[in-house]
Amino acid sequence: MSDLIQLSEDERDCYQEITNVAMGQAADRLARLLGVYVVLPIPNVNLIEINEFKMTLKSLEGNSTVSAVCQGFIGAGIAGEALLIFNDASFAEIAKLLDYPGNLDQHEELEMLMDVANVLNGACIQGIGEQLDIDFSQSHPVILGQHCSIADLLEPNQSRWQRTMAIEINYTIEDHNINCDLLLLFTEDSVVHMNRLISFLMDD
Amino acid sequence: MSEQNNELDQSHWFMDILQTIDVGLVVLDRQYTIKLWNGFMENHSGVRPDQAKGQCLFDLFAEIDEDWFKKKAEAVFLLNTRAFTISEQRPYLFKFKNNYPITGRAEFMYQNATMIPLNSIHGETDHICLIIYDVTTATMNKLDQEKAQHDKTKKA
Repeated sequence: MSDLIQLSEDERDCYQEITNVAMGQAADRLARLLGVYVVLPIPNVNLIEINEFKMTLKSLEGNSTVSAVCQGFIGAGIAGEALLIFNDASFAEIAKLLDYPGNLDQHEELEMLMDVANVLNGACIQGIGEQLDIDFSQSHPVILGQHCSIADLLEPNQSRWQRTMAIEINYTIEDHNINCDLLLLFTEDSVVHMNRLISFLMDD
Repeated sequence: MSEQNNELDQSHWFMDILQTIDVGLVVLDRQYTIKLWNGFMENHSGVRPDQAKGQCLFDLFAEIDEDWFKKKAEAVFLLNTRAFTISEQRPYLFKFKNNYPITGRAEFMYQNATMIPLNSIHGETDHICLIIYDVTTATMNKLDQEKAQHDKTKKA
């Protein structure tokens, strides 16, 4: 492909800043729901190739199994997916915070996964949309897998895309062994639209 | 004048569309009293809008797990974000018949649901809209696939 999309340093900073604001809102909501302090890291913004994508996923995994849901969003020429990857070791702690009684079976864990996904995905997607003045449509979340290794999660073998803009956010909760990653993945053509939108933000 | 007529026309269209669309729409207030009940809900439940409106959702539909539902809905009220539930969590929220009572194999309608916050003019989230989707066909396909996979591994 000849005209690969590019990100300038300024554009990358701008996406990072937009994400910072959005995830701040997401963390605030999660904190209100759970009554805990959520530690906010600096989001990672990268244009990644299809093969790097697998490596990124692999690096998130560590050596435990994970559960993951993804949710599509679309609006104003921008489309992507929010991928929430949850470390299975976090479930016991999350159950305490979310007040899920009893033994944790696969079903209870799915409920918690969905609860957290609703809050984090919703707040992040809405937060980014608000700043770009877009009211995104969100599809229903899809479970990619429970208790599996990341390699099993997805097989990006269909080369319908070459590169994606990935925004990676790692949420941790203070004093609790809770760790989850939110990956916001934007399609190539969305990045063109978004670059145009943020150019208005960068002017002032 | 013609613009006004246009708007009037449009709101009539919207009403028709809301009534006819093959998706369930229910508006609930903070006490889970039903405020809006569209055609889909009426036809599948057999409860008329005049019977539904003003009633508490949990009184009318005992099949809804009140604690579970409130847990999801309170987050929508509190955080002003959408909440999604999928049929893998609970096959259905309302126990409706399958849309294909003769040829279909499913016993009931599998449902996905979305709850969206509705804000008052003062900006408070004082109502939510519950949207019910029929996902029976997709779920049955998925179940068939899983069963086939299971049988295959059992044989091997």
